Amino acid sequence: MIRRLRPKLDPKKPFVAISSESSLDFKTGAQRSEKPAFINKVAPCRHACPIGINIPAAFHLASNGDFDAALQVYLQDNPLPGVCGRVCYHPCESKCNRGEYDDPVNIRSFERFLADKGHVDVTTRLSPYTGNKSVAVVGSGPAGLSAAYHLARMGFNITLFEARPALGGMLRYGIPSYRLPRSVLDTEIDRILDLGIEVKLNTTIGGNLPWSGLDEYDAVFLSTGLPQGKTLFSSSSLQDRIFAGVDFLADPENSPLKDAGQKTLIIGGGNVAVDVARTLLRTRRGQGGGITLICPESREQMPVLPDDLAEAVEEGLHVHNGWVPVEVKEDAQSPIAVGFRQAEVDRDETTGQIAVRPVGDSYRQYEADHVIVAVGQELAAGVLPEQVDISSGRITIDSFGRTSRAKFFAGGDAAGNKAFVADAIAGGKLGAMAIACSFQAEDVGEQFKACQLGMSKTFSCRHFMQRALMESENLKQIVAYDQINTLFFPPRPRVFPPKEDVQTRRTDFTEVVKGIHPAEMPLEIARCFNCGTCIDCENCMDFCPDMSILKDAESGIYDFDADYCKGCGVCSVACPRNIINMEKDTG
Amino acid sequence: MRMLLKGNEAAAYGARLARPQVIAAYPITPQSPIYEKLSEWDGKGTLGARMMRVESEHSAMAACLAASMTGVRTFTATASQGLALMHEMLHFASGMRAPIVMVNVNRSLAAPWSFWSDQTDSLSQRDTGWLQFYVADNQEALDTVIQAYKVSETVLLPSMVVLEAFYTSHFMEPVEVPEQEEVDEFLPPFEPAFQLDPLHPVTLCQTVTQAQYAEFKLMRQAAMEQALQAVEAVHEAFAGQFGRQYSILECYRHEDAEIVLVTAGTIGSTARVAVDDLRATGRKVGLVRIRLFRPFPKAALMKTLMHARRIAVIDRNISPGQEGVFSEELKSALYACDRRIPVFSFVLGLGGTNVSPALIKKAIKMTSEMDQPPMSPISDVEEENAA
Amino acid sequence: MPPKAAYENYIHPGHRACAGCGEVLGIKLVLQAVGEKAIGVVVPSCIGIIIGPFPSATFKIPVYHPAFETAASSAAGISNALIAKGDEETTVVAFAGDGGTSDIGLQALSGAADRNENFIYCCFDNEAYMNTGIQSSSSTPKDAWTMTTPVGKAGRKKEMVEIMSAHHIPYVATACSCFPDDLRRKVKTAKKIKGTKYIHILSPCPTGWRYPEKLTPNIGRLAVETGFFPLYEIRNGTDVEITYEPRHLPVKDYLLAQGRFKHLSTKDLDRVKEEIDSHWRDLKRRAGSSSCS
Repeated sequence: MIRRLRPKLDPKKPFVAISSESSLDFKTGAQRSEKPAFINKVAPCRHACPIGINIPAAFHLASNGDFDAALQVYLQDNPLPGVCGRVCYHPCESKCNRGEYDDPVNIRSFERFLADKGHVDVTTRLSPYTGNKSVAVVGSGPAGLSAAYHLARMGFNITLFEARPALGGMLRYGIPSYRLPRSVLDTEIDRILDLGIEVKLNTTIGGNLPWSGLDEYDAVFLSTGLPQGKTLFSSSSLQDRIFAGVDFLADPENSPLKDAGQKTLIIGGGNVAVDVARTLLRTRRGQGGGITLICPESREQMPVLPDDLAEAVEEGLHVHNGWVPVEVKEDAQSPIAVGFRQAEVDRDETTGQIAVRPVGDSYRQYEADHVIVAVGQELAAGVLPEQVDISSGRITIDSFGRTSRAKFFAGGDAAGNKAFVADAIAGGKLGAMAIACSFQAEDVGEQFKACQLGMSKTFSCRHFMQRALMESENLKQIVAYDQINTLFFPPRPRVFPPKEDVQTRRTDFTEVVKGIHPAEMPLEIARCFNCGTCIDCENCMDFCPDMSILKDAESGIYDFDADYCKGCGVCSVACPRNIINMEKDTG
Repeated sequence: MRMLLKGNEAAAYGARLARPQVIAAYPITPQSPIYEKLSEWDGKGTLGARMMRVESEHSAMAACLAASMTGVRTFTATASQGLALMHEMLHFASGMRAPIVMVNVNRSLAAPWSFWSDQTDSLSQRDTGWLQFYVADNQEALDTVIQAYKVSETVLLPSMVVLEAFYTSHFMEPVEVPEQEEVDEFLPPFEPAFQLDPLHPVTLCQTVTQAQYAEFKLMRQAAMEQALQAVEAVHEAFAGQFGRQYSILECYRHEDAEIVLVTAGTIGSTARVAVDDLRATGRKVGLVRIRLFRPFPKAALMKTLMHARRIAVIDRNISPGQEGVFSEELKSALYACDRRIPVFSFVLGLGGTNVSPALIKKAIKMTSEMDQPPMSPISDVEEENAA
Repeated sequence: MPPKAAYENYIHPGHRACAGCGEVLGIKLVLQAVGEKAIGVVVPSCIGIIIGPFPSATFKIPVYHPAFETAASSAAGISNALIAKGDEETTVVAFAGDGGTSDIGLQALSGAADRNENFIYCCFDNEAYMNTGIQSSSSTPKDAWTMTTPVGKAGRKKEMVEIMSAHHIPYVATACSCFPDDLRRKVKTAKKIKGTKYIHILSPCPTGWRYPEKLTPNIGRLAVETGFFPLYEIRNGTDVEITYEPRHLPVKDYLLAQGRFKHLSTKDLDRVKEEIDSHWRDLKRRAGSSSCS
């Protein structure tokens, strides 16, 4: 006789501890006090980029070999990746989180690689905008090209006016071809024109076409740039031997300065001055003995991009720092003698304005057959419409590129954007947004804030066009280095692009900096942390001890299993790139 | 086929005939010849089983049990220290309802060291939930191994077939070794009630609650009770197949006995001589040899012994602080009897000392002459010079 | 490398591991690599609790939960039963903790390895008897705090990997649950080999090692990257191959991140560094002279 003690088991069922049931009935999710949230954030490179390009997303696509899609990411915001990939001052690299680990990623070379390799049809119009609006873009430098591109993609009819015989502005007439080959520039411009933009060359608004000729347009974007070189010694009688750097660069092969035997003094410490020196060397087929560059800035203060200066020095340029020109001797018979005093420069880092202070009593003269002045640029004289205010020599604009006159917007060098290609492109993009909002009677400030990247001056085009920010994206949060889990990244040094040998460089206009070799490019692509950008590495899923990270098979969206997630937070640490936040779970 | 075999060999033949699929063993005197015989057949390719030459008895039982859980028939053998080392796993095997059959050769447990027969090793395992059969000769050893598989696979409890050091294990006797076909007919292939199988995954032996444990344990009790009938049924079937009849209690000249001697193992064989001698002098003496110790055949013993005037029990073992185990258990069986029959408990043959017919007769004489049984077991028995 | 979401899991959620457990992570990865056609042996350890109380079973493969010291003897028994049944496909995997391996289970493991029984033995090393409340085992490193070595363990960590290698079994490897691809690869390698395969898996334990549970990935990675726990394979007791070159980060980054080592002095840290360097010199020498390419 067996006495049953509160039987839990049916005697017909197991007589031994055997189970074919699962543990799914035990909902360990009840334990947690935190839960993971999957939120893409902004990488510091993107935040530093004036154009706000989604760099890590492009690296992700490229890491899978999908270079076309990666290029497409660049083209969302930047119509000129081949240009920027060669000449940009890469603020992205200076903020690259990888730079705190070993070396920054070679983002500029990557952009160039994509532009050279990828193929994208940009002609798909993107926008929800309807209606037949037209915009005149005045000036086809990077700001104008950018504005035209973005506005055309939004669905507006664009006419691009250019005073010179060809499009490009300073890209063609300022940056030498050994830095930016003309074939690359032409290809990039053609891609923009494929959007169906009307072009009017050799047309100066306020010149051979009056401003009233633009009355039919619903908006005007002014991107006329700063084509005029600032002068020194404007009262001198020796004007035939004093040249503006920008004028020389516009057409160096037909310049009287080609003659190698001559001594030429270049005054200025920026990219224009150094480009003048290097261009002159090439037009003189390497006979560079007569070329001297003098500027008041110290070597470190020179505004020229450090890479470019280093290349110039490799090519044999003589640079004299710390001297400011104070006079020119008015003697027409002998070489020009320019008097210099020793100087120190105080530079306002935010505005870029410099103040030069002669110091001490040192004085010396430099003699030359010619002087090329490259100490800054100004608006073209007398070619601006009425009611468009100017202050401090630039078109006055608000934070979104609106001028003082209704329907008139501005960007680029002319409007006081930082004097770099990327900033000009950003100015064009911002102006396009302001114009689009003005057509829809939308508040550009609100629209901008919704797609602004962090506290930067730029925004995400994709978000502006789609008007829907997903819960899984946070455009305001920038990923810091200490939020990257470097234990998941092996150290590897930066890959550098090869350069043309110096002797060749001194004598012709062959491109100096090449692209990174395609075989090495994947190594550099792999170095990108993809800060804040989920690349489906699935580390979260791999490391979750509770099989509680779920990925939707169709949408690819990540979620956590509320029934079982214990809120341990391992996923948030295993995610190398700071996608996963642990949030309080009070449920 | 009739062969002259030692007890160990007979056990080995019984094991091989039962067609185990996995054997795991470790040598210990006096069991080693079983292991060696199986190994010899393995070397010749005639064993039929996977032979695991493990590194301890604990591992032998662990391996057999795990193999049994994987759905195969298993066998092992040991003695004394080896059995004690297996103790934890014996509980485990019973708890997992594994129909393992093991031969144990009774040998004294250290300390001090001794190699000769003593029943304490197997009796120490009486709480582990194994069936226990105590055999008296080599034929019985062979036959019981085969029968044990049939019983175990019916009730799903493991069985221990107990021989005795040297008295059974190393003595040579004529043994009828059945043909394989006959055994196959009697004992079909093992059909496991459950097993580890990737096609039908189960988790075996997780942690249970208090009530669940109680339930599982009581089911084992139920299976043990069922085993009594199962053993009897197997005895019948075996008799039908092989012509040799066994019973739970091997009784000899007991029906009209006034004094019945109850014992187990080889003493039961020697006791037949003592009984015959005493009967020849007109004494009404009988013998009951307990063949099945677990489950303890309470009802059968009560029925068989209720006519006895007095009972003598000879234990070749003692549980220090109590008495001999067979005696203690017998008394518990008799407790329900209407009439209280005096039981005289003798502890003889510890450590393998010889229990001769003369010694047995003396014990029976003491049973007859003493007023009442003393509280402590009687170990001080000397042979008389005359019978 | 296939996308990891392609790895099917053979363990259900709803198991009873601590939040952030590095051991169940390792179990998950081992099972991904072993696949469906397998039988598991789980002995008392954290794993024994993780498999769940009856009838809530966490493993999807069949699992047998025998006595503590019988992981290897049970696995051997199952392996032989499969051979007896003519099954050459099912993989037998033993799951044991460090105590169940290097202490109480060592005899059975050595015996099985000596006979080259066919199964994969995974030792999940969380460096103490964690399941029973953090008591020291022979696998606890020197100086570590545990409940039974409250002033730090005096003795050294037993070198199980070398012991197993001395049996000249076909495959011995170290792995860490925080190097998922490496662990999966090693299990897959083991699966293809007949005989005894031993994989020693370092399993970080937030509860016993005293660190915030979410840091398990970092603790595991640091153990390897500091050189403290090398990842390597030994075939047939002679051929050594180092499977990961660590960065040799400062060992204090690993040790002082854990409460169980926070009492270590600079002298202790220097000693550990010395031991790591010496161990690596030896490993490199053995790997260099190995016959495998």
